[in-house]
Amino acid sequence: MSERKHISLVELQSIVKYSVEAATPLPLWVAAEIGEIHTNRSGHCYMELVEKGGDNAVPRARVSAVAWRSTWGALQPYFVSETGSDLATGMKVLMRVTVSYHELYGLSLVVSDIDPLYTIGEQQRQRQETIARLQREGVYDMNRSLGIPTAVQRVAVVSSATAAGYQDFMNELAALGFRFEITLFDAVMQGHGAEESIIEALEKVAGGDFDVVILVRGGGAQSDLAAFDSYRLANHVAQFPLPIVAGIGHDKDLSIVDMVAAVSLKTPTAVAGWLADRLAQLLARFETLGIILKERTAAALVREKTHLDMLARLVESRRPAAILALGFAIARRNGVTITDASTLAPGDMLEIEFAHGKAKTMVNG
Amino acid sequence: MLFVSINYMENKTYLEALAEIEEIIARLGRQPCDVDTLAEQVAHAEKLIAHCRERLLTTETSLSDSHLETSVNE
Repeated sequence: MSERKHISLVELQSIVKYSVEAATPLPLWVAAEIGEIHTNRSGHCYMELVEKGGDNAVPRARVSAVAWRSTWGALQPYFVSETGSDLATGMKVLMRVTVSYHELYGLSLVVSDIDPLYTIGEQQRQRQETIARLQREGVYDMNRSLGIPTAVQRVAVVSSATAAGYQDFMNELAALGFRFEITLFDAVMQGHGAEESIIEALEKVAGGDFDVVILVRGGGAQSDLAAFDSYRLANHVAQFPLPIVAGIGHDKDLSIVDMVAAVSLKTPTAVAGWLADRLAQLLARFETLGIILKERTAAALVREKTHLDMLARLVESRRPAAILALGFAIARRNGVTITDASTLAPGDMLEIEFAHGKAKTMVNG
Repeated sequence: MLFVSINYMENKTYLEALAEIEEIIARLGRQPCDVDTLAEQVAHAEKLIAHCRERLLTTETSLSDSHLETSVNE
């Protein structure tokens, strides 16, 4: 057995605990990004907070944090009501924490408060940066400057097959009675994987033959719309070769995807209405032309008949019998009609034809 | 593609059909009017209108799934 002087692990951890907790005795407000977050069955919320830096956004600091049910039960609804979104991975937060050190579990931060204004401010700043970047790169107006085809019937829909919004869209479209070919490109429309999933779906759409792409969100809770403010997705939408019609649904601000999409509408139902309206307008043009065609055909026939009647009257009026009936007569010598008296000589025999009957006569001089 | 219905109409687009119908209407207004071909042209225009109408309206919307389509193409 070694005689070396030593302490137990519990004693070591106790020293560390004492030092750490003595160094930060009071709660501190800490700004960080949520790396991971989940609430367990007991209602306690466990997070991993990170701070990233540099161009590649590599993590430079990382620590576990917990919000016990007693505080989380009040903080979480407060945060959602203030920001309009739930706490999620990637979100910038300002939390009041107490540093705690446990002999068994090590260092963690215990959350006692959260400042939603910080997150709102960060989101706004991030949005403004993203908008400015898209404008600087010259892509902001690209999708909006694409023309919408006259007849939009071949429609690619990027949505979640099971989502209420998609069902609303399909039901409304079916009710409006126009013909569409809908191809669904299934994607996760909210939460952490949404950005990547929608971009993948768009890449599949790009290979197909469509008039427009419809982007409709699931609907339901106004929870996580962060994907629609992300630079990558907005950049894809802005540069997409087909016009994109967004029906993401938003209560507060327009998302950046709404801003760069060729058309932005409030709800999936409104998107269905927009599609049907365009075909209704085209149909109306054909129906108007049908009416004009009938009118012009009738008018052309009347005009042609009038013209024919006039010709008939003209022909009728030139008929010799009609002229003779007026009292004129035709003089012939040897069967040849005489139109010039100077060709006649005394003694020529003429035959005179009247409206009724003929008579012979001799030229005297 | 799984569907062929809509875009098959003697390869005529709506805009071409509109232009053709408008041209026939213009011809009807001109003088002299070719009475012999009049009936034929009007019948053609009416057929185009009926065709486009049918292409725009339907009782059901066709739906295909991108996964299904991919598997058919492969």
